Amino acid sequence: MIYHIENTAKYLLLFVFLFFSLFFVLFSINILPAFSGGMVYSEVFELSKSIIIPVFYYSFYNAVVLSVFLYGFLLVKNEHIHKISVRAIPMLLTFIFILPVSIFLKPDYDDVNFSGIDDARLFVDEGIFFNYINEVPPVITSEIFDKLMTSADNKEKNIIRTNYLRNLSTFNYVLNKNANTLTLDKIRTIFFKYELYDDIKIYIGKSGKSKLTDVVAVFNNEIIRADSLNARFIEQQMYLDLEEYGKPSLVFFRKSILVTNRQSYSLINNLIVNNHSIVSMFLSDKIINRLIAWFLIVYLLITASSLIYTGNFPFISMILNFLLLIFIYNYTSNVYLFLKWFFENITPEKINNYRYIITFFIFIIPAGLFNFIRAAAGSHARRVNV
Amino acid sequence: MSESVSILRRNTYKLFFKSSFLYALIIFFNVLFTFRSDIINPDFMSVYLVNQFICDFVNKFFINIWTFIFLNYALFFKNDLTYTTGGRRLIFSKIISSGLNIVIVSSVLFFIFSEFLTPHLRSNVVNIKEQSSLASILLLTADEYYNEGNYIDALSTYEKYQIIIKPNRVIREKMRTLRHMIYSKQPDGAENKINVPDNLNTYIDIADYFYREEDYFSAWFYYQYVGDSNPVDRRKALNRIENIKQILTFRNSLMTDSMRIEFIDNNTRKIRALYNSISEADGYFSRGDYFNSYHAYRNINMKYPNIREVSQGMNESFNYIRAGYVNLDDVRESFYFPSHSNFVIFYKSNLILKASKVVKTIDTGSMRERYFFYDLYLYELESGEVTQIIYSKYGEFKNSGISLISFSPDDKNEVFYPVFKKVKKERLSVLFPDLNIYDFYTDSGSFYDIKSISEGDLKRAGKLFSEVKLADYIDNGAIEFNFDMGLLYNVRYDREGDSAFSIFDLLKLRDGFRNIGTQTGISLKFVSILIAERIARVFMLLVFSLLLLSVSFRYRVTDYKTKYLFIIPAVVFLFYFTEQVILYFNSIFITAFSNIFDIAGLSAFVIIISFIIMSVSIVYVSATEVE
Repeated sequence: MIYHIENTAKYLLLFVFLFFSLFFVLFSINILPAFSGGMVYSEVFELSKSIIIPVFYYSFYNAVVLSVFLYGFLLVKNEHIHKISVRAIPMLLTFIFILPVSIFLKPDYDDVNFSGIDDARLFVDEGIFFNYINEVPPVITSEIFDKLMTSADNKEKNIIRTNYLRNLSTFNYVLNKNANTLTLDKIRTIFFKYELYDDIKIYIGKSGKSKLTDVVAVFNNEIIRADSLNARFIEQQMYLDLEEYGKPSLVFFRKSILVTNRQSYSLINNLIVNNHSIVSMFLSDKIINRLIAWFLIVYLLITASSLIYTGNFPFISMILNFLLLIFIYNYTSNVYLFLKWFFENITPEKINNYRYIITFFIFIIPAGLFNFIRAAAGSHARRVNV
Repeated sequence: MSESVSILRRNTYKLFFKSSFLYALIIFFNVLFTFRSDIINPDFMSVYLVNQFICDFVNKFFINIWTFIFLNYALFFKNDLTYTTGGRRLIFSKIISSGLNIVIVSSVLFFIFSEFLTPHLRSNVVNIKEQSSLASILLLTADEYYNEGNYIDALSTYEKYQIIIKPNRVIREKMRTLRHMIYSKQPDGAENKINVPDNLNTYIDIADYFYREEDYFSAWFYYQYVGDSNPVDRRKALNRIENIKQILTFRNSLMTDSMRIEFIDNNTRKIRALYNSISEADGYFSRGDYFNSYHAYRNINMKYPNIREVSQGMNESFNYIRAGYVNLDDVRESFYFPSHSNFVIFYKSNLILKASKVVKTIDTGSMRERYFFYDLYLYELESGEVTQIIYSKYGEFKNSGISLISFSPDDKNEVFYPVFKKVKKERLSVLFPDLNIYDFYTDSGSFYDIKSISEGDLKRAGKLFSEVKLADYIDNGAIEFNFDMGLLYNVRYDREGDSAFSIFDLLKLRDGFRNIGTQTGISLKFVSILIAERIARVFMLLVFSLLLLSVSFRYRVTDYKTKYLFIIPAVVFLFYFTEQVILYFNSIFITAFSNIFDIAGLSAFVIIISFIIMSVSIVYVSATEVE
């Protein structure tokens, strides 16, 4: 009994520690860049009001996932790992955490999307020229495609060919929606190289909440100067309309979402992007579905975290588990996409309402079997040391 | 000192040197296999390998240290080493003391090397790359000259190439043939070129020299000059002129008397004309119109290459225009060098300078850096709109300005002057009250926009504009530009950290930025972020090493098995990932805090935070138990 209390306390401490550190990190990353956009101290509170809700959900759900996983291999002692009661603790505790959040707060996609942050200072820097990151065109005409096919080298051709697919009805080429940031960067470089883009530099003298003054936009052969421009915000993106100057609107992404040095931090960038899919797995229209999803994830995580354990060499299991964690974070979105595809294209429409239950059984049966076998052979396994 | 401590120490140092050796080997082969002979000339291979190897070795050295810590304290650690010979347990600090030594010394060395040695080596690598591209350009040009049959230029270009890279057998053979061809061609090719020795200073001596060398026309020219200006040698000069006339007529003895008189008159007239054109060129020169004086001298020099004043005047004028104008030959050569596109800066608070391309080249003579601007625009802003655009096809950064006029040394008409691309109507009518310049422009409201920018039009319009002052900031076809060009060339517009800068360089950069001022649209924060990042980086990597020392020992292997060796690649990958995470959060936090502090404040803040984190980690390490 004392052991269980100890475990519970350990788990709670871990969860609280993770939650607050994640909250601090996410909050800082999201709000501090606004200082270079011209924010002053008195405005911090105002801006933090719109950031605090998504940051809360992000840190909460990530803390749940991470704490369950870390608990499984870091806190529980080897000889107790096979006990069902030990594994029930985090499941029970997370159930207690998640239930009120699901029932009373009812988070939906808007809450985790940072969509309410309509503040230009989070999108631009003040007082310096900075590179505008061109939007990769979702559709290109066949002429442009042919031009690229004739002038680009083989490596570049491959990138274009695999990411732009022909639309047979309009004869245009459409961008692959699932292309990741790194691929988009590569496509951008190719477009720059063959001068399909302008190399645009932006200067903003002073930026307010939604009004930018003293704007200079430098295009390849032209310069646009505006005394003041109003920014529009649509889905985490800021738009500057330059139609009256004869140029298309410019799109800006939030500074915290963009990793400054993308090439070298591509792995981290991927993790940040895929984090969104982990969080969105907890969201669904029905509470029962949320709870099913939560139960499934916790069970899988705790199975996965106790998968690799060598009492002889805890450091090895630690390293392998960290790698597993990176793996899970990096590829969850793919599993998610696969499931989506599976339910949209393979299964009949009738069972669509039960897809959570079906998913639940797809994963829970092998995991349960695995755990059952291990528990049965447990006494032997403990003595042998893997 | 107990026995097990000395065994521990021996094992630790042994393992450290083994793992470092292995690490060095991996880095070396990586550098060797990524060597690209199309970018770097194989002649520089050994220098490149050494420089790049040391850079890479230092760069990822902490991964080596972490791997070593893992191997020593987690994987290969033998439990009996925690006991002394007397059977007592050692304390943790004694067990890790040698490992700690290595970590601390390595971090200090890492800091010193990465701040003082690596930047130097990296600039060496950049130099090697630049010289390689210069060499390949020279070789291409020389081959082109050779194929065109321009043997003299081909030889001189091959000789320039020889300065940079030791030529191979084929090129040496080519140069030998070229020299032979040039010297054997000399009798018929050099019928009129005589080199006057430098020690001849007086005109009479020079005239005598030409007389002896049988270049009678040049001798006549100099004797005439002496006869006109020097009363002492006047008699001798006039006598010699008579002699020359006789010799010339003797050479053409078949002429009749009238033809002879006409021949002499003709020659006299030529001498007079020569005098006139030289004095005309001298006039240009003394008025400071070096461009016209150069071309005047050059025209004379093509006809009479032996007149020393002319070639001297030509060279002097050329030096003057080269100092003030852009040489199109240099621009053509610069085309192959690496460049940055779209260079933008606030030249003044209401004036933006933009170039579509900035090229950095090296001068073959002095090995100094030169900067060329392509398509240079000067936008003048006034209350929310662009009121005036001045365009120059090429520009070059010289001492403390950018020259906007580009000339060709071979063709007088090949000159580009800066022109108005857009100008207010009243301004143009003030500048050109009677001249019809409006052919080049279209009317758009209260402005004139340039119609077409074909090269011919540009040259013609430029000629007209060369007479007037386009703006206050343009003086003699150049704008004042007191910025450090080497600094501006390296500036990134997206504030990415650049590891090529050391702290020392960054401090210099900061001063440079201060001189530039805050109104340029270039971030001073960039420097403070990088300085703080460099300080914090060492601390954070050190903190992780300390934590790893403790964690490795706490979770060490109790029963070693060979199959555990297979885990090492995964460990290295995890360490690599950890380093990335540390650097990422390091940079993102410092970038965020840079908006709150100034440069010194940020560094101080970073140091304080680092010390707090470090003391926490030290407490964690010291709390490690030896079970």
